[in-house]
Amino acid sequence: MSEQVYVSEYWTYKTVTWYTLTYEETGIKSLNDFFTRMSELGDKIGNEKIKQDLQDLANWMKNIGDSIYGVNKSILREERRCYALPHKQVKGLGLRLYCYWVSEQIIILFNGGIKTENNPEHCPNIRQHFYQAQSWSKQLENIGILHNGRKITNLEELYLNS
Amino acid sequence: MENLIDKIVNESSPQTKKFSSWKIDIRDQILFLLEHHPEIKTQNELAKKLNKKDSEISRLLNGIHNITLETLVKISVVLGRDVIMTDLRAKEKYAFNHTSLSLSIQKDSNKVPVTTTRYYYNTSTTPENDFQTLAAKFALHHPYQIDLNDNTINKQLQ
Repeated sequence: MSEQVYVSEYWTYKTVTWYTLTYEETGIKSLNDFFTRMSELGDKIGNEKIKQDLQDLANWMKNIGDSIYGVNKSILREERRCYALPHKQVKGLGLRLYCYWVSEQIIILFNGGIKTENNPEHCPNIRQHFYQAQSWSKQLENIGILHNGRKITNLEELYLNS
Repeated sequence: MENLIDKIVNESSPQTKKFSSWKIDIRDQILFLLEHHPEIKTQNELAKKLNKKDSEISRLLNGIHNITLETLVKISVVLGRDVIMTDLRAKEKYAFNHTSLSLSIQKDSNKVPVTTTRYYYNTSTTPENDFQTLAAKFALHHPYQIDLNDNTINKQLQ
């Protein structure tokens, strides 16, 4: 049986509102799941790079959220129907957080992991998150997102199947 | 609700925080200069002027790339405006060049002023001794209370 998730506001900064998905049954937010898993993994294996990459990502999200111009689509990694953080110019493998770009002021953050293969479909760590992000993006495209400034105005319609 | 973005930011080193913040500030400043430049409006046009590839400029403006001082200087020269300014330079440019002039009106020299107005002016563009000009400006705001030929105007330069 597929589990339902709904789009919910995560945090609003001066320019950008980051949204995420909340699992209806457990109340867990996909972004919190990502941050928690990655933090625990970094601690568990003592990998300083994971910790530093996570901190760089969080700092970028906060600062771009407070920036004047917000998140231009062109600075994200295009991954078929959706996008991923961090920016495509951060070379090599590593953290991937899938997301759906709505506007410079609105981004919906899904989940992700540590990419160890060039092709996400071949990577055991993120394959599931990649497919899930594609499915959620397609559902969001089909429903259509209405928004005004930093806010989505039809949240009550944004229920998705996992 | 706990915001894990801010929680992780708070756990970051001061260097990580500052580095990230400055990169976004610089990116915003360059985008702002492009938006207000009379000729160079787009990243592509900036790339041409700098003899760089579009992708290089895009990389500079993503808020993650480590931009060099040399590149910042080139961008500042091409756009005709400084991309960054130190605190000292900013004070020199925006604060130290300004001084104020207080004008008070008294009924006679022994009485308390009935009104006082302070004007701020840029010493690099306004002659410091042009008291008559400033007094005339003052008179516009207080037409019933001032007589430029009367010695009841008290000048105080600060």
